[in-house]
Parts: sequence; structure tokens; C-alpha cells
Amino acid sequence: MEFTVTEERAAMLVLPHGADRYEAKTYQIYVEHAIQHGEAWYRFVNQIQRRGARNDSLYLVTGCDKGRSWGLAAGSQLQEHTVGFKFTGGSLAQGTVGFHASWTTADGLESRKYPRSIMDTTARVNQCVFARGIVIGINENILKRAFSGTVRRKQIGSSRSNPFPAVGNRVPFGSPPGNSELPASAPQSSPPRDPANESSFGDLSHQQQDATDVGDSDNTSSVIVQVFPQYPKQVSLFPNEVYQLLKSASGVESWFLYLRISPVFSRPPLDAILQALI
Amino acid sequence: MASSTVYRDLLLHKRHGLPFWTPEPDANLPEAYRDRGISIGDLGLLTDDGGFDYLFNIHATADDPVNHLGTPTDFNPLQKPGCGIRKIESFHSERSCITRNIATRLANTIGAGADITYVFGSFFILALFIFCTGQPV
Repeated sequence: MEFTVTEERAAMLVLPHGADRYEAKTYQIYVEHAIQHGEAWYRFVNQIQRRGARNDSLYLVTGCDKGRSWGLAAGSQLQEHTVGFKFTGGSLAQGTVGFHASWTTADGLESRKYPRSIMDTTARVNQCVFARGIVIGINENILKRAFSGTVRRKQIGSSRSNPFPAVGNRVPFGSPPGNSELPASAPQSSPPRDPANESSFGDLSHQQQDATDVGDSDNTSSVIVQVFPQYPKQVSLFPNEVYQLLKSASGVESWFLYLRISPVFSRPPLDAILQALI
Repeated sequence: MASSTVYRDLLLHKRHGLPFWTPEPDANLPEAYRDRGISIGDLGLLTDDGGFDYLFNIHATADDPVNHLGTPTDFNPLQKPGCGIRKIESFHSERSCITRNIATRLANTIGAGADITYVFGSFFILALFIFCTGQPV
């Protein structure tokens, strides 16, 4: 397969064997469980395991897309050129040893692939290319209270280096119990959810509006969970909006229609439905 | 900007979920985990190199091999909902490509003797031609 890069920044994912989607239906159970246990999880990770996990980096998986093989590539400061991804051998259907994938090299483009060598098996569907889940954070006001009076916070560095989703600079419960000093902030981090961060994500802003803060960001709730990214989810289109579209497209005066669509391809399906109806 | 960051930010727009730069399971994790890879109920840390640093699974018991790395002291697994997981096989079909800022691509050489050429616009599939050349790969 050949790809022509057209912009300075480009990204691509190839799934030779495709991928299956898994999605938890009982979503609310996971959200409630995360709110209930989020604080204990941070304490475990940072006090017992000493991982130095930063706030908002804890993630509970509620959905994933998994395949047997993949090739992916991305880069910035690219110039227009063509790159190739080739895969040969083995049986796509069975997935065995002998499947080979390779990228042609291109300046500025970084690439990865699986299987790495012809000896790797593709028998297992264990390669997770996309995940959906819940970002769990500790209310910073609670942290401040827990370490009252000794909070230090440095705000150095460019917001563009901030990991996404906006991972905080604090290490919740990072200090041993009894020590009231909060560790110095990671120097490369900027404060979480700084509006400036969002500038680099372009039209993602609508997704951030979709995101739900189930916990309160005030002093009353210690755990804040955020569904990220919040799809697939059910969406209702206002019947009125559909009616207007149908009316203008077909001239028919009265329609009663109620649609529920997945936002994964939020715009094209409506057009397709209109095409089918007219 | 790191390529893993570019990859995540651009493919996030495709609304399939959070894209991982490292889809493979951690090679140092137990076989039981590597067999299945990331799954529903996994708790982990998002890393800024585009990966998932697995901790434990909230559905598995504390002595389950996938929870070999340890669980909190008062850990109680959350019962897995019986038919609570929706599975769509081949949601992404064989040979599918998910791209951004890639205008055109021409593809060939898959399988025994079939050449497949895709022509893609920025957002829509324009055409799909299948040529059978009979050439061995």
C-alpha cells in the first residue's frame, strides 16, 4: 500500500487482519466503580508501587479495538512524499507464523509494525489499536487540603509538551504518609486543563464538550472521572432538525422521524439516510 | 513534537478511541496477559510515549495470573456483567487503513495473485478496483 503525505503532520494505521471491537454496555457501573475506588487506586500505585503516577494518568479501559497485526506511522515537519507499507505471506484468515510486514523508509516519518519479524505469530488477537475508557483524577482541592499549607507548584515549559489527555503535574499521594511535603512538580508539565493546551488539538474542542465530569470539581468530591474519548455513544438527533432537513430536501411537509445514530461517522449517515428517503 | 503525540492527536479525530502508538502488550507481562492484550476492565497508566502501562484488571481475582503484578490490599473484583460486552467482529475490515492528512494512496500486493488498488480522497472512498493479475507474490 502506498500513502502520499499531503500535510506537514500526518498519521496512518493499517490493519492487515482488521480488528474486532469490544465495548462495555454497562458503562455506568464502571464510572461508579472508578469514583468509588479511584482514591484507593492512586494510593496503591503511588504509595505501594511507588510509580509516581501523575494526576489524570490513571485509565480504566471500557472498550477496545484489537487485531492481529498492524503498521502505523506518523510524523511532523513532513514534505509531500509517498511511503509504502507492504505485507506478504501467511494466511490472513488463519493468522500464523510467516506473515511479514515492512515500511519503506521516509524522512521524518516514524513507523512501527507488528509482527516485527517473520517468526512472530499473528495467531493471537491481542494488539490493541484503539481504547475507550475513563480517565481518573484526584480533585486537586482535596490534595491541597491533604497537604495543607505546603503545596508547591511550578509552572514551567510549553503547554505543547503536556500529555493528552491533560495529565496533571501532581503525583497524588506521592509522599509517604505523614510527610506533608508534596513532591516538586514535573518540570515539563503545565497545569492540567489549561485552555492554552486545547489550541493544539484543533477541532477536538467539541469532543471535550462531550466529556462528562461525573465528579464535582469542587471541594466535596475527591475523585474526578472523565469519560475519554466519549464514543461510541448513542446520540439523538432532534426530530425538528431532521424534519427541517427533510423538508428542504424533498418539499414534503410532514414527517415524523426519530433517529439514533452513532457519532463515529456523525455527519455522513444523515446524508445517506436522506439520499435513501428521497 | 514526538511522532507518538502526532499519531495520537491526528487519529483521535477519527473517533474510534484513543489511538495507541504501542498496540502490543508489554513483553514483560505474564503470558496470560500477553495472550489477550489490553482488555475491558484493565486499569493502567497512560504514558506520554503513546502506550498503556498495565496495573491490574478490576474483573479478575487477586490471584488471577493477569493480576500477578499486584492489587490493592482490599481489592474486590468487580463482577463481569454477563452479556454486558458488545463484540463486533472485523469492525475494522481486513486491510483497512485509518489515515489523516493522507490524500491518495495506491495499494497492491496482497495475498496470492490479487492486486488491489485503492484510491482514497481525504474523507471518502472514491473507488475500489480489483485486478487479478495472477502474479505470484
